[in-house]
Amino acid sequence: MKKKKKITRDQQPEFKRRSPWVDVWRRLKRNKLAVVAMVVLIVIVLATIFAEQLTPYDYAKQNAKEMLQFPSWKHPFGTDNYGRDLLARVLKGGQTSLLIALASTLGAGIIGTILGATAAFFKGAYATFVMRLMDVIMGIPSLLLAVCVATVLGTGIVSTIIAVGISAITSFCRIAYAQVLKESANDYLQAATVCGARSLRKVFVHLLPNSLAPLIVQATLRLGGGIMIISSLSFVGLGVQPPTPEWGSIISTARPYLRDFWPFVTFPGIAIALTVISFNLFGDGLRDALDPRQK
Amino acid sequence: MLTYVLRRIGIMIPVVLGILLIVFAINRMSGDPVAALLGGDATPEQIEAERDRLGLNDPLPVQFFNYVKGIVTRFDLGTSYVSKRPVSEQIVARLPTTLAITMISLLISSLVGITFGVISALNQNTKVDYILTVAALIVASLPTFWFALMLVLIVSVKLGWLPATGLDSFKHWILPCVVSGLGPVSNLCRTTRSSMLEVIRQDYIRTARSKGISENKVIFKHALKNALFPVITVFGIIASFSVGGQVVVESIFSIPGIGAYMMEAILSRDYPVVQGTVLILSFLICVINLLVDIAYGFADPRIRARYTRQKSEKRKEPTQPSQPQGVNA
Repeated sequence: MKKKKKITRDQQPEFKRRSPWVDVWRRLKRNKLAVVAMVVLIVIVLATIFAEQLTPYDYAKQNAKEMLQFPSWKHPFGTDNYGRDLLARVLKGGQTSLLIALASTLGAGIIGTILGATAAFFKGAYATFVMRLMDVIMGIPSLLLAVCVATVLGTGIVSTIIAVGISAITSFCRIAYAQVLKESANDYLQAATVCGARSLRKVFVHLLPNSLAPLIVQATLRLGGGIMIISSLSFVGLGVQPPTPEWGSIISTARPYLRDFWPFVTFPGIAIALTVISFNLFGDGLRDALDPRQK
Repeated sequence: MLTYVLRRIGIMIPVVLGILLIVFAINRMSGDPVAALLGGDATPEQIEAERDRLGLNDPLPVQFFNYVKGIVTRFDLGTSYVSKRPVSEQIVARLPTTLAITMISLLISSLVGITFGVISALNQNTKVDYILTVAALIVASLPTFWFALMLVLIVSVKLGWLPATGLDSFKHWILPCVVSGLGPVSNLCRTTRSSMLEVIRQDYIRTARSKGISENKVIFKHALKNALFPVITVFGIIASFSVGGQVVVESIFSIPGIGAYMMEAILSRDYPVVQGTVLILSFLICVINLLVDIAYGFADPRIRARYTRQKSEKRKEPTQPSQPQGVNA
């Protein structure tokens, strides 16, 4: 008869402790489109960050001799109505667009998540108030709400961030609300209560980290949507004003030249479309990778 | 069913009031209307008299009450800074055009989007499905204004097939309707696909097939009918996007609708017009959402049953376990 061996701590069969993110990454890698989108996004972000170093031209330097030139080796995207290199302006414009999208999504994400999570946790009149408020904001189309806010705040980068961010709060709030409500039913929350955790600790240390996945996906998708709203806002004449380059405002400036000079409208638009498509594809892939059950 | 309809209307009222409150707050924050209305050479006495006349010296709650009362009783949306005419005049004149474009594009895009969605679901994981899904995603990622400009550039300027501006003939309607229908098509296609995929895995579809019913009948009579419920619910969201997008579409195609009016007002900083148009378009969306909800109630036998049963079995109801409060909030 075999003698029962006592297993001590170091003799335990070795389990590889894997972070959940490793699994997510492995699942994400299987989705070819999402990986391509991620690479494209990285390239776009790097290209816009290093906009000034990538092209020999200054995005603001006017050149009366080279106005409205079609694409050539010298100017791959052509030049604009003041003879400025269009590639330099599109890259620099991306910097503005991405910065505003990032800031507004981050702000909206934080505010929306806090509102939604606390509403789901504390319930009662506070929850009713918050969620009804979100219903009202949802009732106004995001572009119209942004237009409305921008008429009060005026134009410029900061007011654009606020205008775009306000309409994004609702989706984060609703997701955080639903998630925290779902998570509240779990035993670990009771355990935390038994251990004497205070309300805020329960919300922010226990519930929120477990509700993070759909919020991250939403943030990715929202970044794409944000870029669309920002550029629409600038195109309409609110938002970022010329001479600051931004994808929407470049297209707005280019509108009168549509008939005779196609590159002016085309290239910034392709930049927007490519970025938004990549965010959407990556966001979709991320959703499948973060929560395989949902698919 | 009347209870259901009334309850839906009851839910809509606070939303409409909230929108009114937001627009009112923005209205009061966007600078002094009196100076803009009277022009630069008004004396302080004139300005003070005008402020009194407009009720701007009243407490804010009174102002809000009067604002809502003015809209409800006289459809008073304020006076344009530029034309000095009531905003409502222009809105009434322009509303039919905006409604027509939205409705036509929504109708066509529902047909196209649902068809594509069904095709995509029936061919799941084939090339057709793949192309349709990716195409829908790409289309959803194109900014409306840019897509509109590119269509004008290619179809009108380069090819000369369709006119780029105005609404004079049938041909003029094609481009604006295509542009405003684009987002809805992709959204409906994606929703229909996923809901169809869920439905065709159900047992009753297998039963229908095993009974020997033709495949077409199974798909269109048994599956599609049930797959369309989630599609109805997203219709409200789609309509909202479509109405919001009119601002850009109308101004690019020079269509005399509410959206173009708003765009002109933004450029000339004519705030009462901006707020009036935002209010009307938001209200329009609320009404569309209400209609969608009511349509859903009539279409879904579960909701119909719940409300007709409530009448006959009223006494039984309290014995049913009620949901904990706040879950449905």
